[in-house]
Amino acid sequence: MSLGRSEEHRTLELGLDPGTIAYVDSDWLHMAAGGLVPALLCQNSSLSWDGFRATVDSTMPPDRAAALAFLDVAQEAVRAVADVPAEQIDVLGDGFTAGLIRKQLGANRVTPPLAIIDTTAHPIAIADAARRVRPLGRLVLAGAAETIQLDLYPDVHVRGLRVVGVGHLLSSGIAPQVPSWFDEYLDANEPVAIARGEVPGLGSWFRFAG
Amino acid sequence: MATGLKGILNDQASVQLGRLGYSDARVRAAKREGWWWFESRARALRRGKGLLRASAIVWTEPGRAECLPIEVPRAGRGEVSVEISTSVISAGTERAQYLRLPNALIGYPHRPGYSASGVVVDVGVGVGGVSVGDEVAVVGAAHASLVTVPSRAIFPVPFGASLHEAAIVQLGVICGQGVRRAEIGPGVEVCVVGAGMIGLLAQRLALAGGSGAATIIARSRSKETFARSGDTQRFLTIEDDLEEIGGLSSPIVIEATGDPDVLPLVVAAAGVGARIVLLGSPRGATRHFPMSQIRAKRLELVGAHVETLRYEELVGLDTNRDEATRFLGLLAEHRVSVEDLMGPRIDPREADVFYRRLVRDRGLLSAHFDWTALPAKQRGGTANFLRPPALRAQGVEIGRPVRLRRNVDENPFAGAAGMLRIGLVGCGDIAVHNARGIAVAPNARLLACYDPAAELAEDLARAHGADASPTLEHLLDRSDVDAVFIAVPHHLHEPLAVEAALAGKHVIVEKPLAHTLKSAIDLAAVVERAGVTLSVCFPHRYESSVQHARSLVAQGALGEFSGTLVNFFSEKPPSYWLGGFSGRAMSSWRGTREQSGGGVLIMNLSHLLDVIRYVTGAEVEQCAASMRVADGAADVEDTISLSLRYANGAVGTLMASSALRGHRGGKTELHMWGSDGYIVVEPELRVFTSRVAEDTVRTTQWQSFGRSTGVDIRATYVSRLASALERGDPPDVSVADALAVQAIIEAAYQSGDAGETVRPAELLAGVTT
Repeated sequence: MSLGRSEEHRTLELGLDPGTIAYVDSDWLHMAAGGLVPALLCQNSSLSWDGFRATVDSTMPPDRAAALAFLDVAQEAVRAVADVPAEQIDVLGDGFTAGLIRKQLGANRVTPPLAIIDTTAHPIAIADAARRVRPLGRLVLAGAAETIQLDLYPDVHVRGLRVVGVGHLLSSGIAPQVPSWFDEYLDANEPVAIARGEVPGLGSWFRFAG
Repeated sequence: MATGLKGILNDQASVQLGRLGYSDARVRAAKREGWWWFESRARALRRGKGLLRASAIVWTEPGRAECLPIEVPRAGRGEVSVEISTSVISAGTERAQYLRLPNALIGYPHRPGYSASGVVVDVGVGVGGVSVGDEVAVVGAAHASLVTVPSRAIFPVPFGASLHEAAIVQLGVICGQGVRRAEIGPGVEVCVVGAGMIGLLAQRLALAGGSGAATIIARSRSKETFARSGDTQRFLTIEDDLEEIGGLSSPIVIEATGDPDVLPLVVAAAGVGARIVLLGSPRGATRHFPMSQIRAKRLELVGAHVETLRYEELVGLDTNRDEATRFLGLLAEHRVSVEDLMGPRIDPREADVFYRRLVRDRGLLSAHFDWTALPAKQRGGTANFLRPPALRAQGVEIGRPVRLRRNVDENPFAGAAGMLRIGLVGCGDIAVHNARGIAVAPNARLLACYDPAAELAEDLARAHGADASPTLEHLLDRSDVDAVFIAVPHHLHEPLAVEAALAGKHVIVEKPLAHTLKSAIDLAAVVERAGVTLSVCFPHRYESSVQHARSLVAQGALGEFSGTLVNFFSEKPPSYWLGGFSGRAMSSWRGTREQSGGGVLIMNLSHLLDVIRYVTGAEVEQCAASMRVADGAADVEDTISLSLRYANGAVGTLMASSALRGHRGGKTELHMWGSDGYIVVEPELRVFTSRVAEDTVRTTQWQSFGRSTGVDIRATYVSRLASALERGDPPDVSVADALAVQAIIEAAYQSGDAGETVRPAELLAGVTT
């Protein structure tokens, strides 16, 4: 998929097969104009993401299946900082994944944080997070991007940070533990449908049907 | 821009020194000396201690490494002074700093170095467990022969560990903390990417710590031997083994290259859930940080710069001491060996040469400075607290060299043997000098003189108590004449020399050998058949500056010879060419090419061509000349520009003119240089070298030995020739020497005439007798 820009609207130019639904976290839309935007695809009871594919219960609505995939990332990100007090953890991003993480962690934050979870995958945001996190601290990468440009020297290397990559259920094959608040949270944060490729200004995640 | 008092003082010092005529380089040197002088005394006063004298490696400007004298305070409270025997060069870090690579920028002057070992020479108050004479490893020590450091920077070398190997302690700390952060379980396989010092030592420490089989991934196989000697089970290269690397699935990967773009490969080698330790310092941004792979494999990347120990210190951990102690313990127990990782031994005085090699030689693993190589006076001692600062910045530039005393034996007649009896043929201008030379030489005697102008022969004979021969035959018939010294118009060299040789006399020819190469070769062939000795008078070889320059070159002061520059500027009156040199003998032969062979090149520069060959041993392979007759008084060139290419690839240029207004006094410049040094032979001997050529010459500073002393070079030439003949040795100036110079001259003239390059060797081979 590629992201274009018009004067007033962000426009996703999608080339999806009929019956395929693409889900995009709003944090993934920061990519430069013309760049690729990651997407979670749902088709014929299967999810594919980052080159991984998994079959889901055919009775499960696609939105819920996709949301569970995001939940898995969020849970793994939280597990990566399980030994850090929640108030010492900062979360970067405004998207659906970031929301799921914050929901688990509860209120935060202190400055500088001992750990930062990034869901944006934006190189500037990550570099900034590396600068902000305490020496010997932790940076959790939960954002979706193939590659980014990143200088590891000044902070990760010199200040002894730990950078932890968190995957998702498609790559682990392990279904997430669904917390009790999840259904209510999903109801309140349904994906916003993208019509004719135009991305609405509001919404933490988006759905586009081919 | 000036910041703070120090900045303002710094700027003011630049302004004031500039007003005194200091160049930028001298300003830098003077300010460095002034500041160090002040700083060392201030530090000593704070401690209530005296000063020690030492030497240190200093990068005074980009691309210049010097071994300079420094002063350090004796150990104060909580400090220890250590006389260093070995300091280890961090090839990766110091190469990056030397090249000013990203994340390795430094200011100047800079003192590199980080790890050393030596013997304690002074212990400050409050330091326990250390005594004078103890062998210690020192972390964070700049390359120097003597350091005063906080006691926490030293670690006793345990019994069983060598002092030499202990010098690598800082690297042991760096790699040790990296391996610790890898949290390798017993028997767990480890993959190390990079086969430099860091990678190799990290692998050895991992193994010593109980890891399982180790794999090292490198760019090439050049360091496989080091890896194998450290018990690496598998050695893979990026070039040949990409598929195997992708299938390693290593649970622990230690990145030790510092190459920011190698990270995708590191990630490829890692298995799911692996830990990647970033031990090498990345030199710039990773362009393709493999985010999705790191996430999919759920990898953990751990930054492991040695600076992280400081952060651990903030939470009360002394991991620096722990790592150093652990490393030295492993050395003592022989569980780790680093002797093969220490690299070549470098004389600190040749640091400049070494760092340039470090840039070129990417395969160089490491190296170490051997401070015991320094003369005792440079290595250490008590400094004079009251000495004034040396603010004149002598030696920084060619125009302001440090004056040194010559140490070459300047008695030119030492070992003179025999008594050569000489007859002079040709008693004109230069013969006067030759006759005097013969008179001065203790083992030569002028017996007879001949010249078609009888009054010239009688004049010289009278002056030196010799006979004036009425004819050439009369002189050649004398059985008491051993050798004939011919100083006549160039075109007459051959016929007269042949006559003398056939008369059984040794032949000395005033330079050049002849007016053309063919004539010279014909002459040499006849003399050889006659079985007598032939030599050409190239006396400038015996200038003290030339002798000393040759000695320095022979000791390696130039490194690889790479170039020469000759300038000869003079203003000769038209009478020189058309009337005569001094007025003693009236002649116009110098002004015609048929008789003289040429102008300023053959007349004057032939000496310098011989000197270049004599000093450097280099042969001219190719000549390209442009020349002109500027004044038109004669038909020989009075201006020539000659471009030379030497057989080893060195290049040279020669610019000569005898028609330069305002140069009646004449001026000669002869410069030669190489990969590691520069020598000015004329007008006075000056040398700059990065090599330890002789004890009196310090590396990386301009030094002068002054103008040549008053050695009678013609007397020296005659005396040495006489000794050679007496002993049956070949003469200093051989026929081959004379022909080589003659061939260069011929090639230059042919080139100038034809407008194309000419090879002297081809001319020599092409001319047949």
